[in-house]
Amino acid sequence: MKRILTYILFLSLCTSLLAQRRTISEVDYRRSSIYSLLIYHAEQDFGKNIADVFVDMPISDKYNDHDLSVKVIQTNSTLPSNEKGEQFLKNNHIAARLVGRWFNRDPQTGVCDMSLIAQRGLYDASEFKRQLAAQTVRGNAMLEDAGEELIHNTFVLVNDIVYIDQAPKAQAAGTAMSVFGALLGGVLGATVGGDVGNAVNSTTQVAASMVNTIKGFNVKVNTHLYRLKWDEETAQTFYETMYTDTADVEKVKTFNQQHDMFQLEYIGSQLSSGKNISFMGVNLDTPDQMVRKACTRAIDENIANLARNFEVFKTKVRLVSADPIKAPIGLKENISDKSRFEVLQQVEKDGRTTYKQVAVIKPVAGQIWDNRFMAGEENAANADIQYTTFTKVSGGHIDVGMLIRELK
Amino acid sequence: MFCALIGILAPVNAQNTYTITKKGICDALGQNIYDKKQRQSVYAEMFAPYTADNKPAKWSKRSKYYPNKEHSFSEDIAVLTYSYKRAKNDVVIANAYYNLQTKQLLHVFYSTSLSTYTLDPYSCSRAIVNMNDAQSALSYSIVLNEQGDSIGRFSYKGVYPPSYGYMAAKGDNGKWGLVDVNMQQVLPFNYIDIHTAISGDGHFLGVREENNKWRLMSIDSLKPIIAEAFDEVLLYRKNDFVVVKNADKYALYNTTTKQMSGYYDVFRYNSRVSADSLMHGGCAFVVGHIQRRDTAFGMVNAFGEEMIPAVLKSETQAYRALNHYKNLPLQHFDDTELKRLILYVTKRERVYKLTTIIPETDWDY
Repeated sequence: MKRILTYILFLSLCTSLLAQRRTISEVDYRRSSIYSLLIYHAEQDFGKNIADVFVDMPISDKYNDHDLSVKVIQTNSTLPSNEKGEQFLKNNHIAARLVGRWFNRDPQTGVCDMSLIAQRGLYDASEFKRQLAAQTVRGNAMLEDAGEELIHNTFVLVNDIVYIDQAPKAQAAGTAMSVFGALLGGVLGATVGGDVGNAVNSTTQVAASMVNTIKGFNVKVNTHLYRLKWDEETAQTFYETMYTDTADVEKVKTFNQQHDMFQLEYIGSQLSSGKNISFMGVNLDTPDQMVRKACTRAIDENIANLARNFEVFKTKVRLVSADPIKAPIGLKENISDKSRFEVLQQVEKDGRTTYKQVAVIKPVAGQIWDNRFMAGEENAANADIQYTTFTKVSGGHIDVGMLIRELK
Repeated sequence: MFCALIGILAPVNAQNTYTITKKGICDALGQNIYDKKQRQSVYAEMFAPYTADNKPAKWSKRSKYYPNKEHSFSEDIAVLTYSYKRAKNDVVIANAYYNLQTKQLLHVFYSTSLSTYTLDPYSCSRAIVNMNDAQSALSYSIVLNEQGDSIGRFSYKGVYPPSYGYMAAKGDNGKWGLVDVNMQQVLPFNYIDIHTAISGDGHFLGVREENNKWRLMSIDSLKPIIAEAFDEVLLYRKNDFVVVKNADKYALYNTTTKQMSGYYDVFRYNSRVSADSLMHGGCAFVVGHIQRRDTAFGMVNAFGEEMIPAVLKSETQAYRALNHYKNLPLQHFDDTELKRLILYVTKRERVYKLTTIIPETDWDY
């Protein structure tokens, strides 16, 4: 009997200890979160196309989608675009709204929850509830960890996209498109009926006017990066005076009166290279595809360069294979055979997460995944391989599931 | 350049992860398992019937018109398509199955200008070869086993690749039935058509009966799993649901829960939502009612439950909600969440002036 009781006690203790440890999914890992905005120039050619395409552009899978309902802001201002962006962010209390999104805050009742934080941070949601009851962040490892790992890694990207006119170079190509379209329309019109011919003509004319510029069609994107400030003082004030899991008029009032305490800090800017984007893979019946291709590639390029240049914005990616070493990262992240990555082992101690470098790897030439937008449609080499293969430069044992981060 | 072209023409088969490189074919570990020397040897063996003993065929650079490539990697077996120019205007094209691990040629088929072979990749250790001979008007399809031996013969394109161990096949009476991979009859040749790839676990299939209606049938019991017959069934291999169509309206039938959703005028499936997410209540379907003046769109999940009522104004908005929803915790929406989601998908389209203080009613947070 005594032995059974001892065994049961032992089992309970083990279970209790296990329950306090967080389990990290083999597949998922913590990402930074992004809210992406467009500065829209109505007076520009293709401004509307750019805006339409931008609204439905997904956030890169290397980041969490932290978008709000407003995506496009129009300007006729002559201010530099980062100043335009900052004006908007401040006037509309974007920082406070991003915090509200983290806690799924109901603006009417003030009710918050930790479900999104638990989901993105791979935490135990019920454990959060218990810790929040103490109403103090200091010394509370899980809340501090959530703040540092997640909330503090929330970024706003303000993308000022301008179309670059290279029409004279493309004139010949555009004219050829128009002629071809007219011929095709004529043939189809004779065979099928006038309406089809006219429709083809009209679509091809739209495409042709784009080709007039699209053959040289180019966008330049100036991306400005901001980071949500979330320090111990901000967190303490929020959890004590604003966080509530039941309707609370006073806490709603406090949040509305003090939302200026939430701030965004400017990190830096990146201008895209403005490389010509080829037509390959683009269906000319839907010219917006070309706009989407150009904008997506330019924004991806900027994100990759911002990540390279600013430590705080660097992403981590999980290795999917250790032998050979493979990760789902590629040309979209602007890597080359000269890139170097550190392999990190995630270490959890007392509820806090740290990362320890265990090795350095580099991509194998010729085995870099082309994961740029529409690379498959372009029939780009290595568009289908799904992963980039790496080789070890230095360090110790590498396991599948470890994270990698680019070294500058 | 040549190898880059090969890379483009013969993409890696994700299942077996063979890569074509400049030096040959590499396996998942990066080992070269089919180098230039082996290629030459296989090439010579393939065209031995057309060459003299002391002068084996030599591999040469692929020309624009006559292919030399390895492709369709599946179950460690590659399809080789090589050509050999015997003389001017006399080219023999050979298609063969080659086992990359055992390094054996399984079966070689020689095509001429009048008779051609198309080789399907291996699946469930079986491969289908379709032979079309214009000269003799003799066309047929054969089934090969893993040794490359022919184990069954059917009319031309009268047999579908295996799915979960079964193959739809056409009998001599022109009707379809079901055989297993050992060519044993499972369903008699009584049907106008059969779809084997309907369910994610292979336990049921769709059969089209004499009256042109489709019925869902269990492979285990060979009986219908639902009494209703449909005008059409749409296939989703990875998941246990089927979209059915009757009188121009669509509904979703979940074969695990046996739930049927309501019928809709519009039904779209977003293949980017993962199967796991679907089976835990995630949404994948944009549905819509088309009315005289307005169309209205919403979303249903894999159990046929309406997660978002048809209140959105366009298919674009519904897709936007779908893409946003798959990133949210999986849940049924309460009123606040629903309102927030509708704000999110509708307000995104609006353009706001930089200097405007945007009203609180336009913000989701």
